[in-house]
Amino acid sequence: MESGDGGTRCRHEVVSVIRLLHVTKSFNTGKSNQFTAVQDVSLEIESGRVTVLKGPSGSGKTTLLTLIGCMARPTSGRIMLRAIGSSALPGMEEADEVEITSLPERFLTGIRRTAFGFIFQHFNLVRGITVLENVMLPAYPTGEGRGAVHGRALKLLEIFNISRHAHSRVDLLSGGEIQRVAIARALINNPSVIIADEPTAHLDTKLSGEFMEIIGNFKAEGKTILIASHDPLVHDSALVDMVVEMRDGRIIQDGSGR
Amino acid sequence: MILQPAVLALLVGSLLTSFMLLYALCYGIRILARWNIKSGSELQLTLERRTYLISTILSYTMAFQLLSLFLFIYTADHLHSQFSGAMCAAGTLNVNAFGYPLLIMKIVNFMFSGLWLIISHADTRGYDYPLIKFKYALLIVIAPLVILETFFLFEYFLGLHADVITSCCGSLFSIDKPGISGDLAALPSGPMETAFFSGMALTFASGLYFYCKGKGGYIFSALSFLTFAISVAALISFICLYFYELPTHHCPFCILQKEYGYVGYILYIALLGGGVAGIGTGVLLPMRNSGSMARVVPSLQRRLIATNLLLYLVFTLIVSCRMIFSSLILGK
Repeated sequence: MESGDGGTRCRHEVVSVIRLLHVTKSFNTGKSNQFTAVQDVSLEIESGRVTVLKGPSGSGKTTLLTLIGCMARPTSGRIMLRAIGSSALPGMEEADEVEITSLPERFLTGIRRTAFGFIFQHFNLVRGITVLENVMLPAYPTGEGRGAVHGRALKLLEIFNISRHAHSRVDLLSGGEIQRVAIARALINNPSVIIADEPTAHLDTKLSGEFMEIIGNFKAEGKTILIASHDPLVHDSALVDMVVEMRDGRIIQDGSGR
Repeated sequence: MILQPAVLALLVGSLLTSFMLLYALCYGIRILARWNIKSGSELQLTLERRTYLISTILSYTMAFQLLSLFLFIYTADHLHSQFSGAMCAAGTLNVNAFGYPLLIMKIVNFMFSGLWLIISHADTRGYDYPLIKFKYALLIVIAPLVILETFFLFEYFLGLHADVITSCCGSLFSIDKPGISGDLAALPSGPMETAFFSGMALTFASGLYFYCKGKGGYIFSALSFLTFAISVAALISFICLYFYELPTHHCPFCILQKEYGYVGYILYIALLGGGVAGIGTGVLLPMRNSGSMARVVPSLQRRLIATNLLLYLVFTLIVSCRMIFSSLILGK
């Protein structure tokens, strides 16, 4: 299948990589203050595409992202990944489908570490250490050699034009530079899925535009991108293949025909 | 009842173990009845989440169960000075009717706890909960046994009175004494030596074969168990005699004392640990090719075989050295 958005993405086969089946996430279950953030969400996200979760604050976008990114478990429902991180499980091939909601934590960690790259709303860089160290940080638990990680981190900084700040502390960077460091960090383990939570919330129009350019490059490389945003610059972008509109924890519109 | 810190520790530990096992059993029954990995229901996901916690707590509980056997033997040995006639743990255990049944229960539960830990270890290495039902079904056997052991433990310690005159080990493990202890002591040393060394040799041969070729696992496991049983009998029949250098002293408890360098603890740890590892190898065999266990079980079995062979080797070497260097020569 080929994208119909006129973007620069390479021609490649599109398969469902992330499937959500009746996913619900409640907090304080059984208590008087029980709150259901995501309710009975079923969704298919295809590989190599840009999918945006759109909706007002409190609509469940971020919760859904954390569930897909293996950072939290649903209260009910299942989430399946195909060709993402399957090789982290003994005896499984990369193309196999993995049901992640039942996975013991030791396996979930491996998938989270290698399959997903996260860009957080507040970027969450570690203050007091250098740009290079921040970018290398997610690769430390993988056990990969420091030389290889160091080389890859420097290359990423070069791609994002911030290699001159490699040895500067992140506290001294501007907003745009911080954003690019956060993106470089998300890419250090070469994930197949990039998850970004309100990435343009603290950026001006120019920087938001730059961010979407970078997203376009990821898409061209065949990466799957999942963004939660209520910024029109993001969900109205020509790069976006699917907009999923959420409200009160439910999907109210699935714009997959976009 | 004699108030000693070790006695209190055993009683409290045993109560906690029983409580934990009872709680886990209730949870296990829910798993056996309602577990469905294909379902994404709230109940199924809750069971999946809670099994981590229950398994972790149970692992510590079972580990305590293993240690408590040795704490119990040590306590029984330590208390012997309180009773007229007792020379070691043998006399202390004979103070009332619950002593020896309690010891047997503790050994049986040691074996079951060790096996449960092996199964649980394998289960947590799989990503699809391959042994979850087997693991909790085993609790249906273990929990009542541990609760019965706790009952025996309370009856035994509450029934310890310092004015009781008990028998010494020389009398309890005499060849003239009717019963199991006397029968074991009366076993002829020559055939028992042959049976012991043959059992060890066959276990080693089958273990090495299974380790290298991956075949004959059940034979190795059965031989490990058989050798374990033969070794227990051999300890009373002839091994102890070499340690004491007395042709009539068959007590399996005096070797736990300082005069013999506490060698009994090493012997029992080696024998029990080796036995559990050997039997555990066989218990895992049916799961060797199922799901995610296909990658986990073979390597775990190899580690268990290595553990069994190493511990049995330690046991055999200690016994052989003692037989060679002892002043006692049997059968002459």
